[in-house]
Amino acid sequence: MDEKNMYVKCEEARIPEYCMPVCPLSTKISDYLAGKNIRLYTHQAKAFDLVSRGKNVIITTPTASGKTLAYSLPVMEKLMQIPNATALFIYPTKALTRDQLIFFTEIDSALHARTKPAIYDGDTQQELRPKIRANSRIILTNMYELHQILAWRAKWGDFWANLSVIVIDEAHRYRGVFGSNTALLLRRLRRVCNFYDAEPQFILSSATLGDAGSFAETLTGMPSVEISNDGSPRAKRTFRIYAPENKSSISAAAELVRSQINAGMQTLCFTRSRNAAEITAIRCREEKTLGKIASYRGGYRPGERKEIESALKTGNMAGVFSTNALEVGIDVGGLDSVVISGFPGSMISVLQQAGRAGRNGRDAVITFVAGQNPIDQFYARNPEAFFNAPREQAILGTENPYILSSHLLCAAAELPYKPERDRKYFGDIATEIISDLKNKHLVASTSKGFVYCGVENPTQTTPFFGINGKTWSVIFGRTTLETMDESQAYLEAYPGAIIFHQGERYRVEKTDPEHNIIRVVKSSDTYQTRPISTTEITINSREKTTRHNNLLVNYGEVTVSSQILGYSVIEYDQIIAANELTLPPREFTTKACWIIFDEECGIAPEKLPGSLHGAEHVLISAMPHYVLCDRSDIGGVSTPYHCDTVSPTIFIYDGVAGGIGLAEKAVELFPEIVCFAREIVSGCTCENGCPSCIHSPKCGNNNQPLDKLGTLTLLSYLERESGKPLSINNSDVNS
Amino acid sequence: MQILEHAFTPAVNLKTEMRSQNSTGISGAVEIDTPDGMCLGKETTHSYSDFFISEEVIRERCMRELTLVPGIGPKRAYEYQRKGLTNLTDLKHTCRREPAEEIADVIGNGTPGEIIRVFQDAHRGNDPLLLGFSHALPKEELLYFDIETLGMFQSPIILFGCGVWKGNELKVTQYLLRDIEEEPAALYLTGQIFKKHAHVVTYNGKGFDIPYLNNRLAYYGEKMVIPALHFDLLYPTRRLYGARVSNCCLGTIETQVLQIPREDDLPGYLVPAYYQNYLRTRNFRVLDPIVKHNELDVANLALLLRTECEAVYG
Repeated sequence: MDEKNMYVKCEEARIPEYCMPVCPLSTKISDYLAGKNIRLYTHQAKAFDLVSRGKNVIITTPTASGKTLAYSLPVMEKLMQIPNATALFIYPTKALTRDQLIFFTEIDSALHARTKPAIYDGDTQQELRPKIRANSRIILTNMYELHQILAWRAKWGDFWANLSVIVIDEAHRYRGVFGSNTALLLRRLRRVCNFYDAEPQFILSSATLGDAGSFAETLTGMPSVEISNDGSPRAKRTFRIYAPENKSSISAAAELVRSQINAGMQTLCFTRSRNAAEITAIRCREEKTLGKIASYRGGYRPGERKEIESALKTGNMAGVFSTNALEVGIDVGGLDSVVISGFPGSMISVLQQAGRAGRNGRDAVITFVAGQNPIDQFYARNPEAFFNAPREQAILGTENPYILSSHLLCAAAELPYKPERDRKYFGDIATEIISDLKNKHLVASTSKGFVYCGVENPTQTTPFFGINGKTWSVIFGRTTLETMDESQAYLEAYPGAIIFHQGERYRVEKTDPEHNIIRVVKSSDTYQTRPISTTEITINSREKTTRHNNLLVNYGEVTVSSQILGYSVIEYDQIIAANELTLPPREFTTKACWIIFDEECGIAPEKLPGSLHGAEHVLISAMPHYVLCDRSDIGGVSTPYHCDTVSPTIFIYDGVAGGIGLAEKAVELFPEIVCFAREIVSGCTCENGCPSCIHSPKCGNNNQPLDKLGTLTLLSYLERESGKPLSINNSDVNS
Repeated sequence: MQILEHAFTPAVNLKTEMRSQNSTGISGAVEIDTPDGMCLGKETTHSYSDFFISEEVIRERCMRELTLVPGIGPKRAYEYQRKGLTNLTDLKHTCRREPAEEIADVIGNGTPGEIIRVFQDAHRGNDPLLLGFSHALPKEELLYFDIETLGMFQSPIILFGCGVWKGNELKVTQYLLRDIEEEPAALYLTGQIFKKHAHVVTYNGKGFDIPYLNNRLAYYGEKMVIPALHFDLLYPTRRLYGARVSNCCLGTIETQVLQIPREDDLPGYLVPAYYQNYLRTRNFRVLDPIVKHNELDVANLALLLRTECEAVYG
């Protein structure tokens, strides 16, 4: 490896800080800790005290600092004190849920707590469900399932009436539109519990976040205390940033992992995509590696994943190439080294992934391998920016009328809705929405409150929470290799595509859209494929144009369609052929806002694409702060010529089909968004653009072309136009 | 029950008799007042000839069910029968003596509920044999029950059909919502009927009607109903006729088993749409087919139950 392309930064080892909780531990818990030789770290003791005193908390200490123990000890204590008390644990993925069940089963039997921990989710067998509801005092589930079960009041009444704690793990995941949905779902849960006179406490566990306390309060609706005084020990960590020269980041990551494994270091390599995880593993296997390696990602069968997890933990696996699926707190033990191949999109992810390295006080090495895209390259050139990046904020809101009205329908189906009682959960705006829903004959007014009376299941119509899309199965012979969702199937499983599965190559023979089946055959070729796709946006109707002084912002319905035109055949990072395909486009209709430019914007035609593209990115960065969403909830298209507007145009659209009010709200707040966007660019000291200003981690065009100066000129122009006073004497207005 | 009983006695709590088939009412329906508001009630009667099965016959018949004993499958039961061991009490010289005696004791001396539990333990809780108890009980204790809904289980029940015996007549009482706000009143009246009649007869009521009713009761914070015995005819029907009918919808069974095809019947799946139409237009005529459909559902439950009992014990 090239030392000159390596930036190295060391974090010294840290000794543990222990502390005894002020609130007394029961004998059972003390004996359990003594038996396992566990002394509590400061943050674990603090969590115990705060939860015992009835506070809602959010624990934001790093990965592998013992967060599970921090939140489960006070919960177990409570459940042992109150014989009927129940607790709900909510996890973001099924794999993590299964992993955590092992922990709870173990601690329950060690403490003789009689809580009968069980998973209750979509996979739970129908005949086991009544027993779990009746007997288990610890139930592990996910937000989707919670959304479904809240209406089954007759079946869940006892559990809700005794619910004393709600634990939400990986809480930072609930941001943006998904977070807004979750926040309203949790308010529905609180409302149902309060109906039974239960007032459950919230314990959140999260990655490090900016302003975690108020994030927790928005998510749960309850004031929360942040616990961040990490007392866990930390091995010496060497953080390296590596910019490979003359080779692709995939080859570089594969070589690095191989050399580390051969030196006896167990290594976990995170890649940006499912395909990358497979290809990097194949590259790594090409030369002799001393030890077993595997790839790991979503779509694998649960048994297959479990096997890899436990092999990692026991040391039988020398190296694993994983997507962010292993980023969550699945217990795979500590590893000697982590390789992050390509920027994963957020600093939250970087820290979570890096947290996997380090065990038993042995030194840990973390290497970030920069890819060829501008974001990775920027960090390679400015490594300090990588370490000093500000804490990211998780943004969500609870007043989006679209999201709120679908949750109000669910709420009204769970318990009659009484405006005077229920505004404390959903705010005053809810009262207006309810009367609107009454006019639409979706709720009816009764002496006991507003009652849901639609003919559809309200839980199915909630955006992001409904059952969206179908699952496709990849079938080889008679075995199902894996499953993928609809958009993945479109982008990865077109006829002729190569699909990798645990180092084997399969070629897609045909797809069967009727049964959602992808048939594959084994392939002995050494090439891979990459789709060639285009994304187009067409305006279906313009619903309104809002004038902010001289700046006109349009709003209406658009169709975003992406189409695969063919695929490139790639062998060793070289494109050796391109094949055409005739496939139907994948379309979705949504709501968008757009602005159009004329020559007065002051950008030379050759600079226009890069400037528009940059402005689009920054507007998307700025918008979440005003419309309360995540940047992944919105998309954008910019073009120097659009055939509907006949002008240079920037579109920003809602990522949810049908639209969910994000672009709609942005229209009203456009001057503020423009102003903030301009500040982001003018306040950034980089030269040609960086991840803090005009780069986008999810750009479909690899962040090219981009023009920082042109972006700044464009945004300043928009800001001026929107700030110009509207007066008849101002000749500009009438022009 | 006061209010309900009197509701059909003119002049007590009876507000206005609805005019027949005009735009504001259902023929034969009356307004009923309850502590939870008002709703419509309608009563019809259906005559059936008398039929009775003695408990002794049922107990004797159940005694022959060797497979109730843990460890005895159909094959082993067949072997025992070939040896002449046809009764649970005949097993006293076999290695299954103890469990067989226990079970025989329950079948001989236990309550119907206890006998049903023995069947449930052998995963035969839906055995057609057990239907016999419905005709051994005082038949005034039976409630024939069927609901119509707005389609999704989170949405209101719009019509409750309850059939009870008065002599040889099945009196079908239906509670209908003129508006969603009348659901609490109809639920209240239904709850009262459940208090008076311990056992319930349904078609798929274990999977649908009773949990749905209970979810609505829980929704309004009311007490749920727990029938003492629940005769759900769907499973015995599948067992008895499943092989020779095209499907086990109640309508199909009526046509193909009971030989009483319905004329101009509203298919059940159209009920939500019809009621939504009514809510928009307030045209009561739209409700007539729903009410008729439900009335026949309840009345034919009695006929089906009896036919199945005759098939098993006749």
